[in-house]
Amino acid sequence: MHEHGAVEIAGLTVRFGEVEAVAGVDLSVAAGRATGLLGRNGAGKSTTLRVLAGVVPPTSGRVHVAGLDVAQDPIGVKRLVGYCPDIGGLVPRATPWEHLQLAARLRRLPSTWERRARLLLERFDLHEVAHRPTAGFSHGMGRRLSVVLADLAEPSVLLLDEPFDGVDPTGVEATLRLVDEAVRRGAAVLLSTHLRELAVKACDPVLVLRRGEPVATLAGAELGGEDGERAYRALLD
Amino acid sequence: MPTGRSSTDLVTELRRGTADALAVLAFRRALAGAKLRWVTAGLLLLSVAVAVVPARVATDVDAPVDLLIWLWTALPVLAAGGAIGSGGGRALLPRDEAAAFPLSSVAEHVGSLLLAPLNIAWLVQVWLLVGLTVHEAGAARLLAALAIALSWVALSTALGQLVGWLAEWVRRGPAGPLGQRILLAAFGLGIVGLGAVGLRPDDFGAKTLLAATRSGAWWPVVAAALLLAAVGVALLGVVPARRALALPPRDEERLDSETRLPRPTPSGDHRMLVRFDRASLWRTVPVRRGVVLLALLPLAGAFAEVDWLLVVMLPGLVGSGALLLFGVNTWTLDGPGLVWRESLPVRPRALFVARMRVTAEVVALAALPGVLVLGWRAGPSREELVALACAWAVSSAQLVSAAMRWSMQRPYAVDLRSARATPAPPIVMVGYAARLSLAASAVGLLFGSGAPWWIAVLIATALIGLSARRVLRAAQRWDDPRRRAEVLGAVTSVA
Repeated sequence: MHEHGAVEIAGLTVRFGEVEAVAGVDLSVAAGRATGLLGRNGAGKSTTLRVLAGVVPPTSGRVHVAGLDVAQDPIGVKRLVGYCPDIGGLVPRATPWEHLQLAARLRRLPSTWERRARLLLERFDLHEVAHRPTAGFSHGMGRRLSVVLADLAEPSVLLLDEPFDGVDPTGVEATLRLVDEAVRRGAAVLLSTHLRELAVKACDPVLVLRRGEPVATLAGAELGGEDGERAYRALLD
Repeated sequence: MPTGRSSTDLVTELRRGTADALAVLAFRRALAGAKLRWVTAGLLLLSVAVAVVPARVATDVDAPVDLLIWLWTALPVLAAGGAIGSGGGRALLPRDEAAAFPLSSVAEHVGSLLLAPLNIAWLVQVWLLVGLTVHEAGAARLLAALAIALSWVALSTALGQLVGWLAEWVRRGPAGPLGQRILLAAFGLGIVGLGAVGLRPDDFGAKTLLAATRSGAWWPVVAAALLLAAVGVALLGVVPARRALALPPRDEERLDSETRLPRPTPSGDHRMLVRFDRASLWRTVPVRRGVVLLALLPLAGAFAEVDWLLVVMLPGLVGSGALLLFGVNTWTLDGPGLVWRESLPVRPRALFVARMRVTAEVVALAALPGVLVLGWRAGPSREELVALACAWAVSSAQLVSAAMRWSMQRPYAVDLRSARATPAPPIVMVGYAARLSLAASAVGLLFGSGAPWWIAVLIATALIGLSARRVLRAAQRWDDPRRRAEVLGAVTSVA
């Protein structure tokens, strides 16, 4: 019997002019699981996540998040989704706290959000810079803050695009813990990365994309170690 | 052992710097597209028309001598104001790109000189100055008048640039922004003091130069002397440019590391969005410095006899200047953060309205000090007062409409961190400056014509209605997720 996932994508295509960024992706992400997206640059991972976040409209295909159609009810979908974009994702002259305030206000979070925000900032070692503009942040600090912002509302669907890029080991550990907690509370996590070993550590299953098309869905264990690396390379070539 | 630079080294450096500046400008022009090349051609054509046509138009009314003297005297002050406001002068390349393609301080200086027309006040002042001067000289002495006027423009621009670099050197040095402000305040007080002891603008040589444009006597000598002085001052500008650019920019570093005291979360979405946008805007160095200068610079006119027409044009000119600091590409204020903002659950129209409100605040408020002080100083009649209020309202509405439309039509990925940054490539900025200055001049002429107050109100209502309609159409386009995705893709292509 086919089980409905928290995220259901069927025949998704996204075109930017002449370029087809995503070509017919089918994907089902179950609630309470972390699914990884692997692939080379330009494979369509980030675009797929942008569509799910309601940032880029699909050219064709069906995209549902918790039963809501992204094209029909983008605001409803955005309420359910927490998104960490691949590049930057931060307004340069606003402070982390101002970012959190904006997210909390627009997501209608109860007043207890401040406690959770402080907890996350501390865990990601950002509490001491919470009131400084993000323009002065290093790349890794920006990544960590983007992850915090994505998970502030404890969303049903957590989309993390390159959350480990340029992040120090402490930040990587904090992110892995956050993913684990999200899975435990029943959220569907979709994580895109170039770092195969970290994808294996955080996700199961892992979907490999090539030139905008899915080429394989593998269990995390199949991609681990040297055998996993060989299998992954074979899928990319 | 070499002990210093030889004159040959200096000439080589100047030649290389100039070649680099021209190469960068050519490269950026090539990226601008065919439509913008047409805009540039139109702009050049308009400038030629301004320089030639008025001389052949015979009228019984002479241009007011006071206005002409004021235009000639104020040009170096305006050029200096523009250079100071933009941290020494506009940058040839954004800071991040300049790290990959390092430019010498000579190239930066030459680039700033060539990009001086990006300042809308400079553009309008030069058009008015040249147009009225050749009109006064007449067709018989067109060449003489044009040669002297353009040489004066070159000298004034070089002087302004020199002062701009000197001010930036002081700002980046141990004296810091406070030292720069004290120096500028002392300069302002000096002007007031000169006025107090009875010295007028025509005592500073402008009257003599104007007489030369009318008589045509010795014009090749006068023009050559002015040009020679311009070259000398431009060369002198290399020294403070080199000193200033060798020091780290204080404002950017301070704003990036400053701790902001947290404030309670606002109760409504609109209030939250507006506060967030205001924070983004007022913490942007070129906007802060530019708007403050634009608001204060016209106050210098309080110490001179300023023609009423210029007072009525002021809201449009100052507002346009403010718009050129950020508003022509307003979504770039969010930088890469626009992707994250787009993922938040809020109607796109709410984002649009908040950004529109913040833009309107800047363009309307920047013009207010000048309008109030110069308007009060002129002692207007009831008709004139209504016309001034109408010009202010119409200009603000037109500028907001332009900001919301252009920001969607031509979004660019720009890092506005540096005081020398512009929200669009130089050639695009020239096109915007020309269009805005024409609109400001048209509004000034319309409401400065002395029509009865009720006609002014009727015209203003119609024009504001037109702007509102255009804004509404832009908002409808913004509602389209595909259109927003295009803007987002363009604005966030800088990491």
